[in-house]
Amino acid sequence: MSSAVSLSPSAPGVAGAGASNDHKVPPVADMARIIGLSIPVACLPDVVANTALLHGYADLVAGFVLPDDCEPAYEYAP
Amino acid sequence: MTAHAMGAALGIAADIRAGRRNAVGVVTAVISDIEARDTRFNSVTRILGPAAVAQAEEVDKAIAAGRDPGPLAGVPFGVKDLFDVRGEVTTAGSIVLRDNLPASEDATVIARLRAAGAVPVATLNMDEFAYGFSTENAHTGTTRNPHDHARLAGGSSGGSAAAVAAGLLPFTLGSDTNGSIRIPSALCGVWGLKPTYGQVPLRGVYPFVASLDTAGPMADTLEDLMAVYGIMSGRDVSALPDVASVKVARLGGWFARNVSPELTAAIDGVMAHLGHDPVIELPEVARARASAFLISAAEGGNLHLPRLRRRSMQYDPATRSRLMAGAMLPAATYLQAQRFRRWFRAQVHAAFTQADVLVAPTTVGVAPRIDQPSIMVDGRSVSARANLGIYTQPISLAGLPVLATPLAVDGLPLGVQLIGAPGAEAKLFAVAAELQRAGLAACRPLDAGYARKEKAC
Repeated sequence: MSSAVSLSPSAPGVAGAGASNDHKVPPVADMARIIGLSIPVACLPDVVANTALLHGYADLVAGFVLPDDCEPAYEYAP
Repeated sequence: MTAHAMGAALGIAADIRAGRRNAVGVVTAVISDIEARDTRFNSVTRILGPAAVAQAEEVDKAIAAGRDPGPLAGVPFGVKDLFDVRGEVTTAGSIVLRDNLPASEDATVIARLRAAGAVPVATLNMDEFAYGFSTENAHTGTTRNPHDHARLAGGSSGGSAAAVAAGLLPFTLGSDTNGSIRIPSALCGVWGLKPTYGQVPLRGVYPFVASLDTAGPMADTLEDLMAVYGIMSGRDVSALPDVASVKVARLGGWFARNVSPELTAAIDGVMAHLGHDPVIELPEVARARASAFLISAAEGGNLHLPRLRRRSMQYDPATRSRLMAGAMLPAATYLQAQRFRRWFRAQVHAAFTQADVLVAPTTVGVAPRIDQPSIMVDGRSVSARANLGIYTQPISLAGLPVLATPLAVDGLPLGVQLIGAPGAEAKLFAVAAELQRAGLAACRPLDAGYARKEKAC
């Protein structure tokens, strides 16, 4: 198993608004526009920090190769 | 059998059923106790006084008329403020929902408990929309740990845990998506159960993450926890397996790192008592935690997106930024996390071919201070609010049942997770009962006011 040190992205609030310095700043304004979300300026630093955190986790999960027949785990019972 | 050996809630019910106490007296005394003492803890958000007394009167009338009032006759309890209680607005810990209409009916689990005679007397504090591990709420304040008021109670069901730990209520209800029953149970030293995902009905429970949400009880005795769980789930838990037949193993790797020395020593003691100490390492736990984080952010963010578009400034700032970030996650990320969940579930099931119950820490150590809300992970000081769940989130992803077990330690509370295969709650209860019998696990409420007999009775 990989070590926690190499796999744990930074937590929000740990290193200021950037929080995750090893990841590029995500294009939060563009992402928000796509889903019709307006982010107040005062809230932007915290949203950027949390988005960077989530992108760190996304990179971690995306770095694991899954077989093509591994389906999403959500279930639907008609 | 003493009331405590029987279970505090069960003891109250036995007294009421036998006419040694009456339900109205118990309920009004508990409400008075909350009013007198909860200013120290901030565990309660609303007292349901008139409705609670009215229901207690019905219990007393039933007994007087010779009717069966139910196994929890007249027992007062509290609910995290995301369960629908008939006639009350369900706030989910936020002012965002305060203008909603009152609930027209009870959540299914509350209806079942009422039918068993139990009386909801209070709603309880929580992180806004259950998105947090600390019960620090911009609208309703921070819930303080009854064992040290300078420390966090944990969350998001912090009010539910603190009310039991303070001795205000014998049992409460909480919800657990990423650890929200287990973490406050550990930090406040109470019993808590996160049932198997999908087992306890969630109708009338305000959602957070549909893929992971569960509802469960917290209590001051294991007997009460089992009784309340049985009523909530509709399952019979009266017959437990022989603990000698239950294979127990400790989770290593991720679950052995960052654990405080005193908690490691306590887990050593648990394993030594159980007589065997095999260690199992689950693969890719960091990615399992990451997947739970992503699924939570995406589903929670999507749920709130319509309101975030219109009135985001009403949200608790900490919740708002997390929900906004989650709402923007790409579909590819969410789907990858859900595919990883499928893979991880297979690994977890494979582990249960080697053991029936897995033992793991619930948190890295004791409750963090409110004025210094951080914990040490991998040598770094990180936010407690975001990271208290490092040992609970991976288990949530797999949907497993977990019994949060309070360890009988000196000093501040510590807890372990007893983790079972899906549907194997009875094996968890069997192991927990043995730990309680051996004096290794116990809830020690500050001052159980509900156990005092009313002079008027």
